[in-house]
Amino acid sequence: MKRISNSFKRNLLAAAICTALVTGTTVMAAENGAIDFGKFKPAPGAEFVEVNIKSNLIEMVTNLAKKAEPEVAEVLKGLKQIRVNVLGLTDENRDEVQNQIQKVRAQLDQNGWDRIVTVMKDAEDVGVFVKTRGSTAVEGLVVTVIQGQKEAVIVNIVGDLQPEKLAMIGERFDIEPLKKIGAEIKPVKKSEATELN
Amino acid sequence: MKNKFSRLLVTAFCGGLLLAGTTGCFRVSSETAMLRDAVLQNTPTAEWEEQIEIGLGRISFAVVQLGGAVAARFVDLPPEARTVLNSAKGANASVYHRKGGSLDDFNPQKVLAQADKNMEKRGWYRLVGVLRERELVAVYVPEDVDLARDAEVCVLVVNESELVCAGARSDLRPLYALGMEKAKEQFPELAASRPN
Repeated sequence: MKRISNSFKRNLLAAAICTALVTGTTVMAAENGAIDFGKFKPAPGAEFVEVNIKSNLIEMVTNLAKKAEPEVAEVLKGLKQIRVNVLGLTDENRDEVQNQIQKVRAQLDQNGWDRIVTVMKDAEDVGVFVKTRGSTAVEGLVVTVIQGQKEAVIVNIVGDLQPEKLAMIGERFDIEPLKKIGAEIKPVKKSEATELN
Repeated sequence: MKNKFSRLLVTAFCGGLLLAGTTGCFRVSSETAMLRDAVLQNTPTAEWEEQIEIGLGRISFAVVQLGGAVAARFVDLPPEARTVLNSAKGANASVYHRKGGSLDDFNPQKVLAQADKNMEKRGWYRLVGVLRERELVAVYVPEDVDLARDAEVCVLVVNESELVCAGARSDLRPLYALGMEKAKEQFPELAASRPN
């Protein structure tokens, strides 16, 4: 009986580990604001751009920018990762990519991310999500864009994002999207999410 | 006399070999070689012809910089050129031209995956990957890069007719300052005073 009991315990542990692994490999929002979009495969003949900047490189650039551009360095200081994917859409990959982006959005909605911007205009479909920590700290930002039938973009920025500094950078360099996002990033409920026309 | 001359010749020859070996004049880095091999192995039906493979290490660059300093006494080198020359610590490149065969089996995704795998073994990761039509560009940096004064990068560019793999090592600080200076000339808003 003791042997059966031990065997049963091992099987139960194995099942628990497998379940955790399976749920862990779906598109999930990690606690620290990073999300795993999964792997995007470039379709033949379609554009594909992937950028992945990790914390050590960000730190190096922050140190470089400290003297010349201290406000930019201040914004960069809190960042841990910047990931960008741009995918050209063709008949071969359009449905798959659009489904994957919708899946990412659904997962973010379900995992405590706040959708702060929704744009559905002409053929453009934009969603901006933030992950907040407490009432003032923002630890992750995700932007998903489906541009008609032509292109899809996903951006994930992880780290200590300070909305007022983002807005300041937007003002400094006259970057409209940063001004807007900087103004919009604050803890809001889904029902209060801004719809831009 | 003959023995002395022979000994001198052998010594000079060995010295030359040692110098070439330490400066790596004819060798590319392992990382550059891995990027090159990722393409060559995944395009078996293409006939690639080596155009040049060259590597200049720290010692070689020190010699080049010394030469540059001497030349600056006689030739007016632009300050940008001097900055770039003085910042560099090493460079290597492998250039191939496709002289025949076909690239019908060219699968950029496979090349990228192979290159990623090869570089990960060396502790590098892909910073940027771009695929447009039949051209692939990938940029790799070391996982542990954190010193601006000693930064490395490797680049792979391949299209239907050319394959270029290159690596460089440099002090980024003067290059960053130079880049910002040029950017401010082009984009005056970068140099504008900060809003209150």
